[in-house]
Amino acid sequence: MENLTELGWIGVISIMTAGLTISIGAIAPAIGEGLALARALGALAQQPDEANTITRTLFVGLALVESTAIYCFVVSMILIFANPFWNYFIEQAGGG
Amino acid sequence: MSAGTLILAFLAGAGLGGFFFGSLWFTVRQLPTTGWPVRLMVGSYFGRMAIALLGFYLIMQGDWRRAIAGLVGFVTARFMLMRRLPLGRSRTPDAVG
Repeated sequence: MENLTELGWIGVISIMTAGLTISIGAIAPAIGEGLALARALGALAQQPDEANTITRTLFVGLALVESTAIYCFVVSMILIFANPFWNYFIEQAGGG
Repeated sequence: MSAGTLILAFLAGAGLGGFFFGSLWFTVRQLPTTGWPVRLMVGSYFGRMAIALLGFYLIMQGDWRRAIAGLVGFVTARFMLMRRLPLGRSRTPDAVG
């Protein structure tokens, strides 16, 4: 690890942060979506007459939960494919 | 980085969000009548996610500003879709952010 440059450290930390981001961003929405879906299916089985209200509320909840996963995905994708810090230091190295 | 490409990324993200949450709405609406609710939800989830992830990869084209513009468009599409949805009969949840 001694001959790792500053640029190398930026790469290492970015990739590890991307992995951490997407792992947390996959686990938490999965738990939330599972809970919401289980409760909604239970409610649908108990009150089939209220299906419209239940499905609308379920849609709003699932949309909020799944967009959390999308946020985390976009952040980790930026870190891997379009890292602004990486590009900044590449430009510094090229210009200086 | 011109404003045109950012606006294009925003519109593409909005289209992607419209597709994603529109198909989520169709899936959820089928839920009371289907015989395999878990299979329906899981299949829909993976299909929607695959298309959304591919779409974001194509939108960003290696630039983080385009990715953010696409994400803002995605969230805008979600917001518009939730506003259009007639929520409930007696009260409307105010957590639409």
